Amino acid sequence: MTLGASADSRSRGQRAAPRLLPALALAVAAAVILAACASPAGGGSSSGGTPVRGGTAYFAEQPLTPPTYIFPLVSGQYFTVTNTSDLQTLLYRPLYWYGDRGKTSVDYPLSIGDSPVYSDGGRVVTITLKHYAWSDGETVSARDVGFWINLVKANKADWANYVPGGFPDNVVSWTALAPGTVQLRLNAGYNPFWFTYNELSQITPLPIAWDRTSLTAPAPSPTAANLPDTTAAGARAVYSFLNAQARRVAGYGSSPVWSVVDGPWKLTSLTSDGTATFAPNPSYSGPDKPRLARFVELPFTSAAAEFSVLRAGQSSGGPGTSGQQISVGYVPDNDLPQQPALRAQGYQLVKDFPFGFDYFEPNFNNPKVGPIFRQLYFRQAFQHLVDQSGWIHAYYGGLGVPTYSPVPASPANPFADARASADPYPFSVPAARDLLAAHGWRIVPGGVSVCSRPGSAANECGAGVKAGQPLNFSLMYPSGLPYTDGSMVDLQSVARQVGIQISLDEVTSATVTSTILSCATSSAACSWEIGQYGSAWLFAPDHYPSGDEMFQTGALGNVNNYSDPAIDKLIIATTRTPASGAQAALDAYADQVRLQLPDFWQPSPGTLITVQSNLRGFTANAYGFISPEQWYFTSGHR
Amino acid sequence: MIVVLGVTAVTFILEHLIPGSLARAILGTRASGAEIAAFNRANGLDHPLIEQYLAFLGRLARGDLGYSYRLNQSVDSLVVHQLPNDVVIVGTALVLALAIAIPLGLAQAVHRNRAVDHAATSAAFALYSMPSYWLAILLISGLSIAVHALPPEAPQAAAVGGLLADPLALVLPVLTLTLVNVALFSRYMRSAAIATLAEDYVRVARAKGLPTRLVLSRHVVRNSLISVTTLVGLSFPAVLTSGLIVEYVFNIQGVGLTYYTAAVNADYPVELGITVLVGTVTVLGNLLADIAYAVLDPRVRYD
Repeated sequence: MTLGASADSRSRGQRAAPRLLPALALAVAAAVILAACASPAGGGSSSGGTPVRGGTAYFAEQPLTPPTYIFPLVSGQYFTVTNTSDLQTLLYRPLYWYGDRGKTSVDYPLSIGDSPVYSDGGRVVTITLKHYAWSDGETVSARDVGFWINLVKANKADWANYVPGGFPDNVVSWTALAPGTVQLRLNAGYNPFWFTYNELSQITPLPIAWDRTSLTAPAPSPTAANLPDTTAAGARAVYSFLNAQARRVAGYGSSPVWSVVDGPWKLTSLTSDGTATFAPNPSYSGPDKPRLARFVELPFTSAAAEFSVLRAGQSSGGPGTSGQQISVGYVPDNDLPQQPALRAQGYQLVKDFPFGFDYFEPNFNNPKVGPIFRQLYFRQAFQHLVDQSGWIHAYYGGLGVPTYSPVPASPANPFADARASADPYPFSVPAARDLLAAHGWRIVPGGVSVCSRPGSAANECGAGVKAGQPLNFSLMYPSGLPYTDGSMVDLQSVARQVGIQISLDEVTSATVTSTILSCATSSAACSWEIGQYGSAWLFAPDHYPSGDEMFQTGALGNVNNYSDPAIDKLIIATTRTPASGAQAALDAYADQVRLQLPDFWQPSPGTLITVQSNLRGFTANAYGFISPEQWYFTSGHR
Repeated sequence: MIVVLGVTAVTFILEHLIPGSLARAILGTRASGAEIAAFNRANGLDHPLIEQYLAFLGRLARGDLGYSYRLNQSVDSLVVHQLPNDVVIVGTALVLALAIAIPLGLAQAVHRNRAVDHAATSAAFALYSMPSYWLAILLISGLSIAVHALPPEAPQAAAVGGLLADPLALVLPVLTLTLVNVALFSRYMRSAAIATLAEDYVRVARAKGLPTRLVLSRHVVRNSLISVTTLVGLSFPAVLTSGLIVEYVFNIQGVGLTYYTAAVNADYPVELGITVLVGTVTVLGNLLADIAYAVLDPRVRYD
């Protein structure tokens, strides 16, 4: 598929790139090709059997992460997969849907918006909406898209997805050309793919029934003039009202606000412990109308508790439902060897590899070891010590894919080129040793290697590295993840062979997140040396694998202070290049970052999902969304 | 009250001594400066530490334990929803453990160094040295997965009535906690009873021809319970916190696990709120134990 994608990108590149209307056609055509060519990233449940209408599907929530916040304009503290993908998108459909049936692309048939049309050199985007209805009888309209933009513009500090300069800063204005057509004027010409995947992905149309500041005020009409959201102060007041409503978790099921939905489901209840019960939305006007009678998300205190229920084959599932099986669950890392037992129980096992990559980060601004990390030869040597295949086999239970590029080859996607599958720095202790020795380090296997030739010449340690400086590093990572623990201990052991001493600092994930921060060299906060988050970078909610949020100088996600003007230029090209050159720009960026190693690559973990034997229609989504409206039970199975 | 206040002050200071940005820990790595500032403002974290602490005490005086950074619920509501789970499961286990351990310890003391004593001692040591996590997994593997006799998780109902409506699902978590506690209490009871049996007043009672049953019930049990009472008094806060492992394994939304999760995730309001609660219950537990001493031993008087 990678070769296929590459061929496709070449065919796009060979087309002429005239301006305006022909360019629109090109953008649309390319988008269609992009969507059509993406092959599934994850597996799905088997097909066959006689579909049965009704039934209740039970879905296992991730441990200790219950749904807690319903309003799609979500702040960072509530920005969890459980809130966004397992709750909000079931009720309030985003403008565009991504990653359906394992693909890594936008799925227009499942989207409210038709394929966006770009004009004026990528400065204007026009979106035609399909007919979707709110459960209060109103139609999902251009005004609802504008309502979202107005709210986000006035409340950026309360929105987890806000990136300075990104959406909505880059939207100068929006206009409802017709009730079903909205046009955005942008502050520059953007790569249509980047804008569609990273910026339009941020839009969730909101019902005008929410455009008010108190529950006692009547729900406004979509055609009313001067609604509160049309001024910044009014939009802030509307946000305050909606946020206050969102704090009444126990009342979600009966709320007159949250019951206005356009998605396939209505939330009937959410308990304090996190049991969420959904019923089909009878007014749902989109595709894939639910066939289940009920969908229930079950909270778990640990993966071990969830696995016990899986193995026992039943779940309490709340009052009155005792004895039900988990319809869609997951296998904890420690229990991956129990796959045969799960198969014998009748579970279908689905491997899920999200679209993203995993890494750990050297702090380029650390006053002590930053100068060492700034040497490319050192980063290359260090990467040679990462035994990705060995880790996958030994610590990931075989459920991992190696990372060689920021545009990963796996899962199959239309963005990666052939080079993403090639490892430029394969595991090799001798290669690491030779690189260090060739650059002035006196290698002490089992001890501590030191710089014996300081200086900036090609065979010296490099600028800023002092004579006698030792290769001593601390590496902070979160506790509780067996594969991370094993991998880091292995790295420590291998590195010792070339005289690199790594002291492992296992802490809570909150400590990692609050410590691994971008920092100035002179700052006390810059004392961390190497950091590992214990979680991979997932291309969500920005689905285009450009590096503007991670590797660009000063980007929010660039916590390790990497800065390379050449790479900055390549990143900007991925966001601004017209459609005709977009793939070439992405390839150039990916290849350079792949070789420059702003981070150290490590395998990306997958998840093993269990599906009840007679449940059909489940597919893993590359971005983590779930679509229970596609699920159904069959008769004639266990 | 002073003890509880002291505990809150120490906890509050320790929380704020932890290095790194609290807002960043809560909001994640992609949080913008504006988002961090808004979070700090909304939660009063932009005020001096002493002001934050006084504000916390002010809320506490109004019965407000705080609002979770992550769970979008007040700490009061979390406790109200989760405490019944702990009281039913840990409380039942405590009562059962005492009901078994007291006669068992007494029997061991009476039959000291005989087969029954050795068997009970071996079982107690085995159970006491076994991590409750491991015991729980063993019970689930045997009774839930292998023979499907019992559910592997506790009842998931929110109220006491719902919990009690599914008694089978209560068996494994209660059994796990009971077995561990029996091991502990029976050892204390045995030691105390052996010491009591050697007392002069027990010898006198026997010399007077009092039947063994009466010697044990009137003289030995009552005097031996003093050390067990201390343990039980200290076990009251355990109702809130010691169920952590059992909550983790048996999918019980309880206060202990919530406290642990809050500590790991830097959810300080939850941590502080539950600390106040545990501190209060600890003080109350000790008070009840002191009262019980006076009831058990007339020589003990509090002026």
